[in-house]
Amino acid sequence: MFRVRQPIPRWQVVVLGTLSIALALAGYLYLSYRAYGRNPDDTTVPGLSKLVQGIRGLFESNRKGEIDFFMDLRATSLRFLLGLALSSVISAVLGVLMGCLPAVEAFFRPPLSFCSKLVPMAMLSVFFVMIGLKETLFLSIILFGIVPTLTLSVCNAAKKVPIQLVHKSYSLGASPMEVIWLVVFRMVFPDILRGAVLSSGPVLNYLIAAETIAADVGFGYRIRILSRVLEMNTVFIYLVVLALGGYLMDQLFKAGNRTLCRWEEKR
Amino acid sequence: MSESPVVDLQKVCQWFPKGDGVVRVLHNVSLAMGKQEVVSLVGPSGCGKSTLLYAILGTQPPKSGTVLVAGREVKTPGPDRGIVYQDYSLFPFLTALQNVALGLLLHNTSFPSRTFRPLKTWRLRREFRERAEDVLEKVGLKDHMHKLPSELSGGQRQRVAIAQAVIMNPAVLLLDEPLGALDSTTREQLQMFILEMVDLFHPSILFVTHDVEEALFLGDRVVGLSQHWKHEGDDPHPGATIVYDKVVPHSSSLEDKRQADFTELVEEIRRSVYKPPQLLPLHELGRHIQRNP
Ligand SMILES: Nc1ncnc2c1ncn2[C@@H]1O[C@H](COP(=O)(O)OP(=O)(O)OP(=O)(O)O)[C@@H](O)[C@H]1O
Ligand SMILES: [Mg+2]
Repeated sequence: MFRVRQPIPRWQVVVLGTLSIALALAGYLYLSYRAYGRNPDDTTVPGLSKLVQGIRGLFESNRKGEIDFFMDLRATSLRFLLGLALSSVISAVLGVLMGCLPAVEAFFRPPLSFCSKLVPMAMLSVFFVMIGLKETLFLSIILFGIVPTLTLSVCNAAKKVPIQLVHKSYSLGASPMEVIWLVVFRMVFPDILRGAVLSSGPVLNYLIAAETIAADVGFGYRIRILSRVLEMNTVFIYLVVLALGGYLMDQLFKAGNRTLCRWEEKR
Repeated sequence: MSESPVVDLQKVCQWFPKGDGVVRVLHNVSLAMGKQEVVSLVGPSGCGKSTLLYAILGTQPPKSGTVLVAGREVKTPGPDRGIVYQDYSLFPFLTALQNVALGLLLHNTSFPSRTFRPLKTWRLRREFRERAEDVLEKVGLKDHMHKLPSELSGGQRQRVAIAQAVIMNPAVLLLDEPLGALDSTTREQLQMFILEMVDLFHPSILFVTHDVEEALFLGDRVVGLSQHWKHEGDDPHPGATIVYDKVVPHSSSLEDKRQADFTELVEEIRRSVYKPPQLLPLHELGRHIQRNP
């Protein structure tokens, strides 16, 4: 059992994995049972029946006839997807150009390096003052948090493309544009995709944080409102939905990687 | 060789800044290559063989002297010069076929024409693909055309790389130790392959190798580049230059070629290029240099 990197049989893997989840669940249920014992109206550690009640509550419409959960889901996923897509595209284009053209790199590297060291969360209030409560606030905080680091990493990847391939493209009659687009971009595309996957976590982080302090719809906003009135049964469901969303993104990117970068996997 | 040379190097010198001083690599390298000639370039490791090749390729133009290819001075890389490296020989994201067809596409179409004239481009693409298929078939890679470079063996990769360069019909083909990374059996197969390519396509080739036997087997002529020559005067040694240049005795058939006994020539080249017992001034070394202009 304590041999370093000694493989264990499959059944042990399954049993141990199940055990950890079962333990966590049992612990939670015990806590909620104790809380219920102290105060039957407790909502901080809701039990099973309360959670089911929370799920039902999700689909009830509010005074305006809208279903809060769907409004939140739509707002947050739109912000998330738009933010991630826009920052990936900007970083891909700028990063590849920086990696290929030293003049572009010389111009953009200093501000990008500086911005990548600033703490986006700490900048939130600055953005709030400058932009106010608008959709662009969420987009700006995501771009600010993602673009500098992602661009620099794409730039470094582009610079790692073997110079021989660049020279060979020229000797096959390529123009500089063609070298950038047909060779360097193709070569770093898997890195761009990987960078986008790794960024999706931080994007969600920044977004939820921004929604918590400056939104009137969205997951971050709702979680804050609900936890203020201690409706933890609904909060927990929101959290689980967020986790599921993250998992879904991961699977999506994996499938994309398999189809778009087959050559890289084979390497 | 009455016609004008395909490659004409005139007093090519190359040096690189290093710290406060310079590293002197090439000194007055002059070399003329005839059409369809296969020239093997040998020399000690680090003497500047690749540097000389890159001067012809145009990626590292010389600091002084001129490089003429087909009569025109070289300043940048271009489709009249093909290159095959030891590694990084293919674009990893393209199949063998796409790799070979790429040059035709890049050379004959442009970004705007591909975007705005899709129908014509589509027809051209098909034509290029057919031509690439044709070449790959000739070099015996018919069954591997749709594989990615990572799915090919090292030897197959180099075959594809040579096909990729040859299909452009360049004035000169520059090969920088293309067989350097291969095991000895594959290496022998690839040597035969290069001879077949020469028979099929008649390219002019400048072939860098560190294997003297290989140089004699493949080349019509062996050129030795070396820094081991005695420099008169107090200046620092100016770098490597051509210390050996000799036509390989002609063999009428491939069979003769394989049987040929090069032992003496090998010895001679080793003595003059690799570890000369004593450094001789250039004019004395010159007794081996037959063809230098
Ligand atoms: N860009 C450069 N800057 C500085 N020095 C360089 C540069 N390119 C080559 N050199 C130097 O020039 C010398 C010759 O290098 P080169 O790669 O041409 O040798 P080579 O004959 O091809 O060697 P090998 O047989 O190992 O391939 C080396 O000492 C190298 O350090
Ligand atoms: Mg070399």
